[in-house]
Amino acid sequence: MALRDRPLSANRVAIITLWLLTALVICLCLGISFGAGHVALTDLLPGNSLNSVERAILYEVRLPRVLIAGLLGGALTVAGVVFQALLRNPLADPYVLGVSGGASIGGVVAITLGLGTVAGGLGSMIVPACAFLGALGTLLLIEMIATVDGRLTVYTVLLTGVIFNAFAAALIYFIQSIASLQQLHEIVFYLMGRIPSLGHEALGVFAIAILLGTGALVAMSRDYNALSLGEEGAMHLGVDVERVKRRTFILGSLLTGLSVAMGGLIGFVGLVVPHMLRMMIGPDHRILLPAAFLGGGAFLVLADLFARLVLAPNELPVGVVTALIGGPFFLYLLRTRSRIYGI
Amino acid sequence: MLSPAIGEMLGALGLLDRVVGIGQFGPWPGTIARLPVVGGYNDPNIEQVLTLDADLVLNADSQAAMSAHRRLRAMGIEVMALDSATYEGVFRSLKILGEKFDRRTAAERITARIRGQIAEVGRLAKHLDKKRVVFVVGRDPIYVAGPGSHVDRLIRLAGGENVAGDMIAPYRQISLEAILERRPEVIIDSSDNGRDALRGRHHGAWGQWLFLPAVRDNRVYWIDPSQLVIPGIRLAHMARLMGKLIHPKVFGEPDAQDFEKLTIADDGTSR
Repeated sequence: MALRDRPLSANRVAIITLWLLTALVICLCLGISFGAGHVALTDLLPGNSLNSVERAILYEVRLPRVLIAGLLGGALTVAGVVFQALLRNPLADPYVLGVSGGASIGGVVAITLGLGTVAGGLGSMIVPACAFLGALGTLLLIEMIATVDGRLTVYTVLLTGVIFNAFAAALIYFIQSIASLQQLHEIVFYLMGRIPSLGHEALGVFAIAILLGTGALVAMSRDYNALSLGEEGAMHLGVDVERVKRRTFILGSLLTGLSVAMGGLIGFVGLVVPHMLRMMIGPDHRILLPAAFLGGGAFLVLADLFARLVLAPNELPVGVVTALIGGPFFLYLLRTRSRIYGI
Repeated sequence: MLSPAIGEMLGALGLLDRVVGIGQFGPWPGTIARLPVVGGYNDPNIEQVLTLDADLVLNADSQAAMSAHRRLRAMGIEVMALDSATYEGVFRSLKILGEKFDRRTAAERITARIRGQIAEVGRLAKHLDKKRVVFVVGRDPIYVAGPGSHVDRLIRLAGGENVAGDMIAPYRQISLEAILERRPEVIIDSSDNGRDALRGRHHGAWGQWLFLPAVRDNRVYWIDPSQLVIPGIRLAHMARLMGKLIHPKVFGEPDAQDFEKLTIADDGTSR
């Protein structure tokens, strides 16, 4: 994945960003416009009046849902890009470093203890909160194990993460084997990945956290370009490699932990959308990272729209759709753009 | 014996004294609830069956358990896989059990009684206005009972119209907005996940949608899924309970017991 240096003109950045921003806005509008209910964005035009059901569907159901899908897709893709850069491994995805396993354990334990409550408001945030605590605990544990002589060794991080995920999966199977049938059902759907329904306050907090994390990672995009030359090469370019590695691991893990806590394990987005974008716009992280947030968001909003529409009013699990759309599209890109990609 | 619905049937036929082991997922009649567990209905534990020296394994006709059933049969243990998940299946299974254990008359009597009681509910509900009902089995994502589920049949029997009547399978994930748009007049939510304190008649998470007739008229019920979701000997009881939830003026208001965690008596009934 060595970076072929091509000067990045401000013009090109502007064009690509504008292009992806437009795509995201179009996807968001489509997402709000269509659904199982019979109300569309055009009903907001003057001359039409909405009744209370239509208003609720647009503002309370669809609007939060597309925004959450956009944030989740953006966060997972950004985490995918930085983990691929950190580990210098094209197979890395947000779930590879173990934090997702920790979040899953937190969520599953909360469900099994019956901490999730049917009451609305803050009660519905107990399971995600436990999942996020699980992610934080795992993050600390892995950092402790992988830090040798004050340095974070990338191989140890990767190994620890993979082993921890295997351990987490076993622990979850154990919990499943002693849970009641009803809880089993809830656990399976929690882990399968879905776009959660959040209240406006929770959505606001979630959005701020995701945007802050993404912003901090985007700010390091020059360092990731240097890191593609290897740790030593980056050091020669004057990059504080230790700091970049540690920050990337922590911030990427926080983004992932937050995403898994909210949406479960939505597969494919964080692994493949980064590659799609690299094939389309090149590997320069200065443009790749903002593009990952916008493009990943647009991708998941669109996938969720499919999941809601194909068999409406039946809904499909969104992870199924991300893989069904993303898989063939990725192979198509690989076939037509692989020379540019340098594989 | 691995399926709770079959446990109820054996109770009603007075056969509980012959049971030596039960399945992982209950509820079970009191006298057998403490017997050794021999696996779930999907994965019978062959070693445990052998340890208990059972002559006969009664299980649901689960696909996942088929290879275990084959292996048990190969070891000379009789296995009966009974359909207890559908309405007619319950009566067929009762008949099979009656013949197997020489309780034919009892089985016929029970079948006739249940059918009679169900028909009575249907007769009372027949000319009532159909209420729009949604039966929720899981939330986030929202799962509802659709056509082909025995809950759907109970809803229609008891004078209701299932707002999820156009789903493609018995239990399916549905768009929240589809439920909102169809304005259910009665919401029966069984997604409480074992949290006893939350059962009863209150809005819960549905209170957010004030325009729903069910919320406006205070007709949101939280029940133990075992009360209505698992068919069995209690079908008549379920039909009456569904009647109470949908048309309380005709069938009477549901009482505190209807919202309790389901317990099964030794005769297979829930009271």
